[in-house]
Amino acid sequence: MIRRIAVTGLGVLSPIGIGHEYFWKQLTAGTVGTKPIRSFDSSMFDVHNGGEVDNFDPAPYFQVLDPADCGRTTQLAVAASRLAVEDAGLLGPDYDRQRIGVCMGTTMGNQSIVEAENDRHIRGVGSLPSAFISHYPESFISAAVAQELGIEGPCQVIPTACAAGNYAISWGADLIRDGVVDAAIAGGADAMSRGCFAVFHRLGAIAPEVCQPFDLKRKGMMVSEGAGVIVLEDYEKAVARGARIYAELLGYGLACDAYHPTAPHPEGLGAEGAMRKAIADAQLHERSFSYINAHGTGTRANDSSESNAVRKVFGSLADEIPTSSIKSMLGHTMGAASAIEAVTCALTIYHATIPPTANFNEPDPECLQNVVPNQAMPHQVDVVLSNAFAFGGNISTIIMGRVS
Amino acid sequence: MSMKGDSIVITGIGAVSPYGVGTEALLKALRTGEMQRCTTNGEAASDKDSCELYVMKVGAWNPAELLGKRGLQYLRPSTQYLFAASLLALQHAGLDDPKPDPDDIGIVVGSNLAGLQSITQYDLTAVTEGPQYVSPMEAPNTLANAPASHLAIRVQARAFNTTVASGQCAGFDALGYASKMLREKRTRYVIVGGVEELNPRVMWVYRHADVLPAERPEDAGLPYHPESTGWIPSEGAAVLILEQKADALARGVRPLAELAAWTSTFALSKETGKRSAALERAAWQVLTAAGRTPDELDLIVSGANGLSSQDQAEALAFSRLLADRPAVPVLPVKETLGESYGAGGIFQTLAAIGVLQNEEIPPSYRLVSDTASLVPNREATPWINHQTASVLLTSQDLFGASSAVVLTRCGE
Repeated sequence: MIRRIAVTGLGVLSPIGIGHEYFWKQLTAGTVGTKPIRSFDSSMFDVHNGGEVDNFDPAPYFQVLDPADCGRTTQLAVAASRLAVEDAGLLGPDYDRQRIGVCMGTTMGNQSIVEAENDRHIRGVGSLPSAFISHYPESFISAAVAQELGIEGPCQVIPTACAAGNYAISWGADLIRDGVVDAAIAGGADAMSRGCFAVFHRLGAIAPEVCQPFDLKRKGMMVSEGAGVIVLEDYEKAVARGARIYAELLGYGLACDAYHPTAPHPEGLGAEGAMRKAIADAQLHERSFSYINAHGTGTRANDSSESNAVRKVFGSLADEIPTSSIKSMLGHTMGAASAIEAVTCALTIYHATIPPTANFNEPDPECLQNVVPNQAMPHQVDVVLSNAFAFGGNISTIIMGRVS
Repeated sequence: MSMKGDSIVITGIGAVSPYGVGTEALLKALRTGEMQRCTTNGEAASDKDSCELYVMKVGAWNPAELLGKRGLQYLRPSTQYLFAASLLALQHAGLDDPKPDPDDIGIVVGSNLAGLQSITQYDLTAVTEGPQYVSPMEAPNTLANAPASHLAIRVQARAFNTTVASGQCAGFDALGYASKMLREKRTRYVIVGGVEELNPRVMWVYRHADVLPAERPEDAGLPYHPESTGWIPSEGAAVLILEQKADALARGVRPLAELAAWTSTFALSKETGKRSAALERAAWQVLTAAGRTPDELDLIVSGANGLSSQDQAEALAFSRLLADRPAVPVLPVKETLGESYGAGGIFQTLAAIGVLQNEEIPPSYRLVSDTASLVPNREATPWINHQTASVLLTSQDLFGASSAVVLTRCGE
């Protein structure tokens, strides 16, 4: 028997707020969280806006490790994980901690450590603490989560760039499906990174003011930071312990364009494949979908490629199914993006409301048309599909459904 | 994670290592004990006082011979290692000509630090010279999954493309991931790789992680030796081709080994007892999943690397696991291959396949009865390929994870 997967806990830190309740309030209000970057001096760049998690104090989320010894990405991952497990009430007597796993995605990893070292090198001042530097490897992100929460099952990090969150969630689901664990703490995290900003800046991909996914006059993406974590549980066990179930994870699909190191396939080859596989995995039909949570970065190439792929998969339904991109409000939180979008999908189902695509002015005929412009839309969401695309054409799509 | 129901087999291997291109010299070195180490020549860039170190580097090789010249200058050494090892493995598996449908090939790579040197330089150049002086061609190399992403384009693999970064457990975790993808029929073939490169930034991380010798570098890399002074860092790529046994047999390919099970655990504390308990738990779990007991074990290919804290935990775990069978040989292949971090697990797997294929266990170690000490047995011993012949492979990460797999001979 294939085990069903329940989503029972949500944790989020984002440029529009910390904690899923405040996040949802901001999201459905259409709040734009991108603004001039404060964590590094952006004066050398042509553009200056991005999304940062304001007022984040890691200390309350740490009980075992010293947060000063951790990169900011690890801090964000630990905080989101603690929020999610507390939301789920996961760490009570119901589960053996050896039967819980941790799967985290990231793009840049603990890049703040590298940038601190570069700053130190430029200033010519003394060494950074070894405890801080030694925690650079990405495996420390999941290890820190496990140590803080007392988890003794499998712990992995999947650094599959901007699709990493969905990749990590998919792997967490597979561990449950295979009976390796009963529950998985899965998601993604990335801190604001000057190096990452330099990468997207050099590619000419950053919008000067705001992110406008699917808009005719969209000018690019915005580099942001954040963390999103969802608690996945064996559905039967979640029901048995009386857990609140936000949604059910119904399936996933993976694919790769194998086309270009940084550009998406213009026809959305990999995206089409990932969506088709996810739909097959969930044993659904294209008519079943109430909402598409788009990758929607706001670049010309991404949004047209994604629209092409959605149109190939959904045919005439593509421009009817409500679709939105929350990156219009958060910017692109890299490896956290699809994990935060997974939190969003669960809340969309739970609250029967679709968050808007903010900053939307003018439709682009090349792009999807029903993009829920600027205002949240009350709508019963039975099944939602969420896309994540990454450099290298790495694609991951997940599907969640309402629990009746 | 058990593979029951659908046998997952390994049908091709390839490597680029300090012993050269291909697996032959590497497997021979394991048998002869030849060691390809050299000094760092100042590469241990660090703001900590450091002594000269031994490392194992991929020496002079001509990647263009295998890969062609086009675009090579835009690829990091790690990506070039992975390319070459993958092409050899695909060739070995008989998948080079004709090539499979791209939608039938997936990629999963264990790697931790592949993007570190590039992103460090990218950020530094942007800040010190200006953001217009960074190269767009270098942009994709800044990411940890750069080798896997480049590889997909090169070999046209579209089923999925995953990188796993779980430190020294990354290789075995990649095997666990690949087996799940095959059993779910998400792909027909998986290229499973492990890759790392040595460069000043990687050495900077290792130095601050206190895994490198602070003194007596000549005594580094001695498995289970109480006086060993730390790792001998290594680099390279090892690649395996995985597929379902039925598929391999249907296309007339004789599998090299069967991947019987994978598991992973986590230790909450650095304390040796806790770390050894987590590794022992992983070993029991994976043996149970494979339908084996310690009594049926023929060999352990271990992760010991000369860092006493890790090796002691491993020895303690083995002393409990093998309490009734202390004579089971333990092969710490990193004694010869060095510690290649995210690549280590796949190199360990290559070594195990070498044993199964050559029917000989290279000089190995054995537990001293009723102790947690392992001592070398400098004689190679014959491998008896009996019906339930099984190899346990183990790894521990610096941060607390332990992973294990069981390989078995592939029955007809």
